[in-house]
Amino acid sequence: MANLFRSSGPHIESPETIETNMWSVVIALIPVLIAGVYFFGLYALYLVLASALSAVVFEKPFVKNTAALGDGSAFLAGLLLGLTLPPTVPWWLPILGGFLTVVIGKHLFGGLGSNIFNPALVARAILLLSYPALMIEWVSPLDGVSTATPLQLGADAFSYSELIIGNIPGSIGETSVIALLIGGVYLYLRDYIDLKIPLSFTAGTVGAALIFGQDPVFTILSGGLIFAAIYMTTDMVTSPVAKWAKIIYGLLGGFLTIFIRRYTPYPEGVTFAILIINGASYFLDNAFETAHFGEVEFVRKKVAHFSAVITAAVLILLVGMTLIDEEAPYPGNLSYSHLNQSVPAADDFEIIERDEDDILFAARAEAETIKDLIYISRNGFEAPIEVLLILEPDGNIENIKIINQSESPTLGARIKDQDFLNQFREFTTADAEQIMAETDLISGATYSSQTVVRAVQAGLRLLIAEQETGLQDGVYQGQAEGVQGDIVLEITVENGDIVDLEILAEQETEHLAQPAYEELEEQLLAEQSADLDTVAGATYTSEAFMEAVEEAIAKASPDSDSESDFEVEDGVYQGSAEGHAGPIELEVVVEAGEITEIKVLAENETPNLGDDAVEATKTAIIESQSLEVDTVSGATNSSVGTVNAVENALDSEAEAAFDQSQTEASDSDSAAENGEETDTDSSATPAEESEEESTADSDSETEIAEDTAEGGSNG
Amino acid sequence: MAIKEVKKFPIGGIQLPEKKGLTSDQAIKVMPEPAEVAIPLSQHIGAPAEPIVKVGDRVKKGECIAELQGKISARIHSSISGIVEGIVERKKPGQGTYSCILIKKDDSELKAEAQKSARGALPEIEIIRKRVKAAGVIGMGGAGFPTHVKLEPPAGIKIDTVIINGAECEPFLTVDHRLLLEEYLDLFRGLELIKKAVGAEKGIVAIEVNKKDAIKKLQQKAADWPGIEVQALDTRYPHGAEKHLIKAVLNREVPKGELPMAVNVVVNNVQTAVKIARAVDFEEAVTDRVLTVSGEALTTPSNVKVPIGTLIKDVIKFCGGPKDQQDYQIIVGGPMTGINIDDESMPVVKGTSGIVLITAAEYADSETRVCIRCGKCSEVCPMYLASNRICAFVNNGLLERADDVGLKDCIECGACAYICPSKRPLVRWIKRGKAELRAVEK
Repeated sequence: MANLFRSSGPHIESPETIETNMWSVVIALIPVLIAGVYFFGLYALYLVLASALSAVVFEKPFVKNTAALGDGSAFLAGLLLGLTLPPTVPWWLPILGGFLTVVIGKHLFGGLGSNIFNPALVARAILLLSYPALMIEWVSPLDGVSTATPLQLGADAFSYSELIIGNIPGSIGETSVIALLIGGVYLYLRDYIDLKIPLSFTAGTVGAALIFGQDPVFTILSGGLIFAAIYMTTDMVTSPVAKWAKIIYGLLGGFLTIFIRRYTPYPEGVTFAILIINGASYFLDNAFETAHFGEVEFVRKKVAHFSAVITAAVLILLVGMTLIDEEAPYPGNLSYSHLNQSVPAADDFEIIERDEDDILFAARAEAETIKDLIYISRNGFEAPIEVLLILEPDGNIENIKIINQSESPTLGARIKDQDFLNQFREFTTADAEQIMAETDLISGATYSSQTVVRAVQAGLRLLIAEQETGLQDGVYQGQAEGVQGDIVLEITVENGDIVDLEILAEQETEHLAQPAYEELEEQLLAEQSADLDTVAGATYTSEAFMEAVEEAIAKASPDSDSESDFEVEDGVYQGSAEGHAGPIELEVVVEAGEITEIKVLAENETPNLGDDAVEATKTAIIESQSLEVDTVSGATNSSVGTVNAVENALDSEAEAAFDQSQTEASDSDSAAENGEETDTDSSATPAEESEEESTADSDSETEIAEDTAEGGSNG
Repeated sequence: MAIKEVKKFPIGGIQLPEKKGLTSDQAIKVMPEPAEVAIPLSQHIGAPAEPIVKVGDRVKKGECIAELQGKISARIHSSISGIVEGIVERKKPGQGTYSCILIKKDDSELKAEAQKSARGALPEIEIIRKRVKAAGVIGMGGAGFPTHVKLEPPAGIKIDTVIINGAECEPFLTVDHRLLLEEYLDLFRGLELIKKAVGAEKGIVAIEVNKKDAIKKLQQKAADWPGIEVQALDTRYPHGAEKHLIKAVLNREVPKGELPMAVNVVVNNVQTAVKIARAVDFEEAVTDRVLTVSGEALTTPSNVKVPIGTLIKDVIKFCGGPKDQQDYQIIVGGPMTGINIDDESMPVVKGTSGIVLITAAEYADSETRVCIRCGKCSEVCPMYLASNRICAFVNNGLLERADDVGLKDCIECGACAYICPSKRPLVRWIKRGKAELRAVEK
């Protein structure tokens, strides 16, 4: 029966329905799910399905749909959420996630078609912010070893092919680009997806990556970007409809992703970038409505206006960013996200010490324990290796991470292997000097591994130095001459701080001095130093007080020899080590804990080059009271040999541990040096370490010498 | 030979399931005159014709029974010989009534066929226009604009091209397809007459590629007709909408609110051109038309030449009637823009391009669901509109906003409603919105 409303057309309809749209995307995600299960196991399958089914169940009270799995939209949203979870989350998390997706992300806004924000991402954001530690625990694929994602490890951590196939740590569904693309191609061929948004999103990402000086290919292949570009940005309900609105939406999203990755602690960026542009959908649709057929004037005006606005906004953003850039808050490739990842529960990182981008020492206060993070950068084979140590208050190394390195991909890069790095855990500051002896270096990557060891050593030494600048516990007296007689006082030091002061004797004018003492004591306890403000009307008394305090504090301070690495008794020592052309023999005189003299007994170095280097080095050692001195450019082996000789002279205990000649590198211009194998298995020269002899008057910055077999030496 | 250079309009449009195989190979059948006809007085755009006969009059086939009223109007002729039974009001589908002249056939005085004179040179422009008007020719593609008016463009308008609309993009319909194959001589002649009347140099017959045989045949035959070209079009709905036809063929966009003459073009339907040729050369009045009777629920889908005023139920019967056990809906016109009727005693008029019996299973009556903002409507809209937004505004009473975003620009082709996965009746809402807006603007 035709009724009024039904009499006009169209009288035929396409077979597509909401269900066909939703379930097609689910089907497209099957390769992704398979890849996820392959890499991360059956628990990953549980997580994904739990999320999807939880979403379906929690939606039931809100919808009238009688189908068991609903119209597919809840299942899909839950599935998407599940695929973005790390494979290590607890069993209840995806169930909570499903709830958040449909109740908070969707029905709170009015149900299907009415939500402003992508429901899976709403749930993900809530989980990220509520359970940060749970949401960032990554594991290596296939073996489940705890690790960090490519974004955190850096662009060189994995090869492009690993990133594409998916054999990398990450969320369950985000890692395999191939699986993701298979699904994407399926959706495109079946006409369920419009490519404008994924392509413009990717373009925005690439553009921003180039602006910020990042590798665009790595940027695309990491951080779940392709997953988001194909499956999250294209969510119909939350994305715009008009052609140019879609394109701007995508570009903005891609740009924001990189921006967020760069300037905030959140490594992936996509979650929040997409939520932000979701909010802009409606406005973009309004602004970029296409001109209608027959309307040519329309488009030019409106789009011109908004293009101008957007261009201006982007330019302002870019200019702002270049200004921000100059402040580089952390040295090298260290970023806030590294610190945050290491100690997620921390609110704040207090920077304790920092030198010329060599070592950063950041201490963080947490509710339960204080942890110290030390960043050390030491030159590797060609570029610095950047190491981050996480130490517990007692000086125990809890964890170590390689922030960045450019060593050879096949050998040197193995310094990132957990087997190698795990050796460093449980070392404490007490082990600082023995580390080199007690760690196994990586065969074929001796130099790189040694650099890491030295970095750790330097970090521990810094911690030791820090610890020792505190006052020593005890009771100390000090005295000084006041106006009418001596003032004698006693300070009590506990846990490195002055906690009490007692005046033992004084003869100053009582009504002036007493209030002064009280105030000065208050200041002293607050400032923990003798540098206080004099009290008005009792200037001389105040100054005497401060002098007495200073004396007491001086007694409480440890010896100022703390910067010395040398824990040897006074005496005269002899030692020798390989230089460039032969052994360098030295005599070292130690007095009062310091090296006062170094005599060269024998050396065979290159005249006017090597021998000068030996002199310069030994002078430097005496001046700095440290073995960490600059090598002389062009005469590395001579400098290094000198240092080693001194070390050998002093370290008779450790001599037995030094089976092989050790070298030390410091900030020279990419000086490459040789080291001997710790294992005997390679008498052939490893590719990374093979070097050739250079002539003495070579101008090149790289001085290289031929690799020697164990025990032998030739110049 | 391969068909070269297939054109199309650039944005929007959709591929529909064609269903033309049911009738595309069938030659046009001539339906015998029915026992009675009901000829409406208003089959065209403009003022209804005024009857010049009264009850009881005897009329001959082809005799004028109603005259034009005013400039935009058309004559009506009897399609059978018989007695005028009445001049009555009948109900339209939806709202309102229509006036029609009922004629009952009698066997007396069968009118002889008009003498076919040989076709010679094209007559003078005035003769062309006069004969077209006398024959009561109106646009037979469905709109029904009085053709003699179209053949006389206003002073100052220069027409350079005439396009014959052979797109026929609606599913099921194969009328123009058969006419192209069977009546191409009349078609070419008609095209030449139109060209002369409007002063155009160029004539193009545009045909969708789903009618390959027609394209090939006409390309061949057009060789004898200089000044006439055949242009192939991509199979896409709605190529038959004249603005999009012009855009595809000539890449000219008719500005909003204007007519094709604004871009120096005149467009005519295939059957209209045929009727023009016959009207001018043989002074034949419009008393019948070819239409496609089709549908999965019909026993014998056919292309039929039907006398004007024949009741639809008689046409369906002529085509074998509905299949047994079939629940069906009757659509007059094509399934996209046609009207769903429940009264089979409605007559065939000059603009009836088809009668389609759609099975209940195929019929689009799914429940309306929420808009999921998939954007498909926007992708397929040939006018570049976002129907979901227009309808959102209409449904919330925001008529001005709806107008801003293109309510009045909609050509009601139905592509958006077809493709919508949530089965939202977008065209109906837009029609309602337009009506409401008109009421407000008065």
